[in-house]
Amino acid sequence: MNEIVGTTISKQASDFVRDTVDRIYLDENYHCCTTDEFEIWHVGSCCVGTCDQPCCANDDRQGQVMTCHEFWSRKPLVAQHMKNNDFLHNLRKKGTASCVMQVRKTHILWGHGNRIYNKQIPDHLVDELVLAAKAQNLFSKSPVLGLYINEKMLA
Amino acid sequence: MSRVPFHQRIQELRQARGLSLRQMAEELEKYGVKVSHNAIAKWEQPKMAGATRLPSQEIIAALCKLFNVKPSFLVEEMFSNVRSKSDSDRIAKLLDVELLTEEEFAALLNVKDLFIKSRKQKAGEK
Repeated sequence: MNEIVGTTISKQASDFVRDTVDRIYLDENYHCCTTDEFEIWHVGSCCVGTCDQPCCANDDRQGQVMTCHEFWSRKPLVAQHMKNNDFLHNLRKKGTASCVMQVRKTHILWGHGNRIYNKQIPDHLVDELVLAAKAQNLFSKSPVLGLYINEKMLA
Repeated sequence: MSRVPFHQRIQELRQARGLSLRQMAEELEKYGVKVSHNAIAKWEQPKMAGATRLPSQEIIAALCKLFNVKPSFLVEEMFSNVRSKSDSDRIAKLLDVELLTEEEFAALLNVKDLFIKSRKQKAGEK
């Protein structure tokens, strides 16, 4: 990674990233699906649509929606989405990598080997984490794509 | 945030504890993971650092328990090269060290080193 001069993030954002990484290794996480190349996981208490209430994302659907499995299985789509994002390159080279990925919501992604974990970034931290990720070529965004987690919850 | 590569961090932690490669492998077994001393040696080699030589998540978790550290301390992450504002504030407070004499500055460094040494010793005792 390149040294970023003058880029700073708040202690709150820094703590969020650190806490997310710690949870990935130490806590129980939610296994979403497995593709030929990756295992997709969601960090900690990420909603998986198991509550009795109507899905809170029902009224917020827009653009093309597919499951995590469909997205991560389609190599051309992943390549297109990640063309300016070094996440997969770093993951294959170093064994671990992270990035910020914006589909319907903005998520932080952490990869370790063949596992990709993701967690939604709280709204108040999105701007600064996106800015820091962009500065390191670790940001990707699709204005039309939304993802289902196990066909239940929109990500 | 972690700025030290995994291979270097793991070697520093092992040496601070005074463990040989074999002893570390034995200690890890107490936390439910079985690795050879050769595997640990490979983790500590910079040229080997990468996808094929990185321990699994389960071993990272065991290493954290063994050394009483958090995973984010062991593995590099996205913002490891981005300073947090609290880091910048701390550094700003040190900008006036140029006002100190050489002796005073040396004394300041000694105090800092003592704090770090004390922290390493405490980690080693756990």
